[in-house]
Amino acid sequence: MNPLRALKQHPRFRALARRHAHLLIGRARTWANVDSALRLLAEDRDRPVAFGRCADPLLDLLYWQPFVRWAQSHFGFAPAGTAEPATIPPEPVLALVDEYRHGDAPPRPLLKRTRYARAESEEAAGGVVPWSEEALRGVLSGAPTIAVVPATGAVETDLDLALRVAAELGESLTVLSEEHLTRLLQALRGPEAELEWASGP
Amino acid sequence: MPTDHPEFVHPSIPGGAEQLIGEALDSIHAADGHVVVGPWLGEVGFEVLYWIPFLHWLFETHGISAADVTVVSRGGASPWYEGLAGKYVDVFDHVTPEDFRSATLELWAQTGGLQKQVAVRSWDEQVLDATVGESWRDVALLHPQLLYRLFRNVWQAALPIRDFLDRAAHRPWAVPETTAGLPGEFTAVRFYFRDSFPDTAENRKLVHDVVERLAERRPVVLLNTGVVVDEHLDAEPPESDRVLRPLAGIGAARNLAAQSAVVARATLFVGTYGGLAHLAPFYGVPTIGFASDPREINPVHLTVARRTAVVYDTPLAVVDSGAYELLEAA
Repeated sequence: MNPLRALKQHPRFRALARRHAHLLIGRARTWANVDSALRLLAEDRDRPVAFGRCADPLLDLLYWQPFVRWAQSHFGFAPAGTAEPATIPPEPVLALVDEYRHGDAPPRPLLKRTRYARAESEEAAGGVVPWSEEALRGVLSGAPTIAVVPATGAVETDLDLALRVAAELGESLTVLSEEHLTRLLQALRGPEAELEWASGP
Repeated sequence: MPTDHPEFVHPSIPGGAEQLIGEALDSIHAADGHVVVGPWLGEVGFEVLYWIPFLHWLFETHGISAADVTVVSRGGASPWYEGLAGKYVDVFDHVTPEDFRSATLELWAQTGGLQKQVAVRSWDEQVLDATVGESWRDVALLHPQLLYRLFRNVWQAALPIRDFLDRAAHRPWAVPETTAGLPGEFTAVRFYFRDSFPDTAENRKLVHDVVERLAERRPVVLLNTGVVVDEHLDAEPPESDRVLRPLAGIGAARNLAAQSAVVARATLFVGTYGGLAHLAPFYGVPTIGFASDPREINPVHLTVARRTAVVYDTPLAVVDSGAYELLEAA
């Protein structure tokens, strides 16, 4: 076996690494780094894991919460108890997400580490809403949703992922600019058709 | 457009795309620029969404002269290749639709349902022999396998979508001539059944209701031709004097040109998501494509379709019945 690999698998090395896993994840530069750090944390059956909060509501719903859902399910961390939990901040994960958002990285590594689920408890909202976490909430609640992209635009890869999530959940999401939606309504219903928002822009 | 067949699952090789394109260009240069493009025997969706924009990019970027290019496709796709071909040869001028359908279905059975031309198979060679004669062997062949090899990892989400978009050029599409008598203003409609819009009682009722509503507002022109060359069967909307069928019975070799000519003149296109719903935005026609089960659609196609419609400054909505009601009520 490769000597470095052998060292990394030695119980004393792993015990030491476990104590510093939260630091390792802070320095993660690849998804493999994140996986390794989470695997170490999961080995510690006495120490639960807590996940930090993502301040951006859209990033939280589209990326961070699905990542947390996947990590909890995939690694099966120790249950919450009396021990101080190791806290995983969102920043290192969101830095990797940014590589996808900038179009530099393929979706697959991200897709492997996210789990999307219908929000059964949420009241179905949906309708014609501005592109935002509200639109995504509509999709996750199972309501048909038309997301209107603002004139200033949106991150294209966010829209790509939202469409993918909706399709894979079997839900309907339509993404259009306000101008395109208005033109579509006029083509459908006549030139007098005007856009009425379910929720104000 | 299923892309989950094992032949689509290949690891990405860094620089692999440049190598594949380089090999194709080498063979074109070796033939003094003389090239046969095709035969395109597959779905309309892949042809218009990926193949033609890729060809524009390839020809423009690498100075391939259209004058030396012969395109082989099927069903009267000639107008789509304007600017890309000195000569267009239609498969259906040389192979009957019945023979084409039976060979296609047989091939799918042999390949475990693989509908994509990921290799030059004997059926492709037979088609080339029948359409352009033996001479295709003396020039370069730009076969659709190049498209599938280049971008299968984009469709598998293993490469960024940019890998395709950076190799696509979206040019204006000329409106084809038509001899069909069309109303001044109309909605073009084409519903057919596929995995994402299966043949169910609900979907049949949906087609009926949607067409009825559309026809109340302006005449509906159905694009149904009666030509069946694959596994997709048309959904037949209700009979009405506001629902016109000018293309019924048109010959297979011209059916796509005739449908394109109608779509390009429409105020709105409504139909099953896929095929013509990808085509209509190229003509700047607002489009509503229905998918009652979006799980059956590769999400990358949704993304590319949306982004392409934006390039053509055209609204494209992919909807189920609930989202369509939103459009009716919004």
